Amino acid sequence: MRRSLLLTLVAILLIATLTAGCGRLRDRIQPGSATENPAGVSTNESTDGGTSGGAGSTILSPTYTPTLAPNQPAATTGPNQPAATTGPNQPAATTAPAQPSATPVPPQPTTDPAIIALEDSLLSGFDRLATQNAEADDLADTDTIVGP
Amino acid sequence: MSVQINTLHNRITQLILAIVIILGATILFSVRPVAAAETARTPTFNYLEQLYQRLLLAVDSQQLRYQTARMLAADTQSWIDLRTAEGKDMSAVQTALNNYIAALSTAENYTASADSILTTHAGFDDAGQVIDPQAARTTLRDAGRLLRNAHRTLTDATIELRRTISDTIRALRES
Repeated sequence: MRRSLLLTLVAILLIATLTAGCGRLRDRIQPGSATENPAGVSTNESTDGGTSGGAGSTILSPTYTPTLAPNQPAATTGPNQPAATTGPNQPAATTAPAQPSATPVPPQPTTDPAIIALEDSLLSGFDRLATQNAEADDLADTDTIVGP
Repeated sequence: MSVQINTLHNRITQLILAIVIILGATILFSVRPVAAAETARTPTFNYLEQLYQRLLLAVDSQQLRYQTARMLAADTQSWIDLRTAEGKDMSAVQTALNNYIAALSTAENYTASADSILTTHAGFDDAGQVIDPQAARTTLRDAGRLLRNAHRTLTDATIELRRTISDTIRALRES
C-alpha cells in the first residue's frame, strides 16, 4: 500500500517535472513567445499576425503575463497590419537599391579625365606638326637649281 | 657705146650689192653680242633669285614649326610627370622626349646657320638681285643644304616621338 502510494507520488513528480520542462522548452522554441516578440508584431507577416501575437500571449505561461499584458493592445495593431501592405513594402524597400549604389564606387581605377584630354591633345598636336613637316618645302632640288 | 653703158651698169649693181652686204654684216655683228648677253643672264639669274626667296620662306616656316615643337615638348613633359605621379613607368617616353629635344636643338642650329648665310646674302644685293652669280650660287648651295638638314632632322624626330607617345598611350589605356 505504502509502496504504491510512493510510486504514485514519484509518478506525479515525474509528470510535473516533465510538464514544466516541456513548457520551458516550448517557450524557447515558439516564435510568438514574450521574450522574442514582446510586441507581438514582427511575426505578423501572415494574415493572422495579430492573432498569433495574442495567441502567443495566451499560450505563454503565467510567468510571462506581466510582460505580455502591455503587448496585448499591440495585438490590436497587429490586425491593422494591413500593415500586411507595409509588409510587402519592406522587402521592396530600401535594402536592394542600397547595395548597388555601394558597389560602383570601388571599381574605378581609371585615370583623371584631364590626363586623357592631354594625351588626346598631344596626339593631335604631333599629327598636325607631322602634316606641316610633310607639306613643307624639303628643298631637295636646290643643288640641281644652283648647279655645279 | 652700149657696151660701155652695160659695163657701167654692172659696176653700179655690184657696188650697191657690196654696200648692202657690208651694211647687213655690220648690223648683224653689232646686235648679236647684246642679245646673247641678255639670254644668258635672264633665266639663270631669275632661278637664283627665286631660289633665294624660297630659302628665306623656308627659314620662316621652320622657325614656326620649332615653336610648335617646343610647345608640344613641354606638354609631353607635363604628361610624363602626371603619369609618373600615378606610378606609371614613363622612362621610354622620357628618353624619346630627350632625344627629340636634342634633335630639335640640332635642327634649330642648322636653321640659324642658314639664316645667317642668307642674311649676309653674298652674291645678292639688298633687294635680292644677283650681283655676283658665282657667290650667289655658293650662298644658295650652303644655305639650302643646311635648311634641308634641318627639315629632315625635325621631320624624323617628330615621327619618332609621336610613335613612342602613341604606343605608350595605347598600352596605358589597355592596362
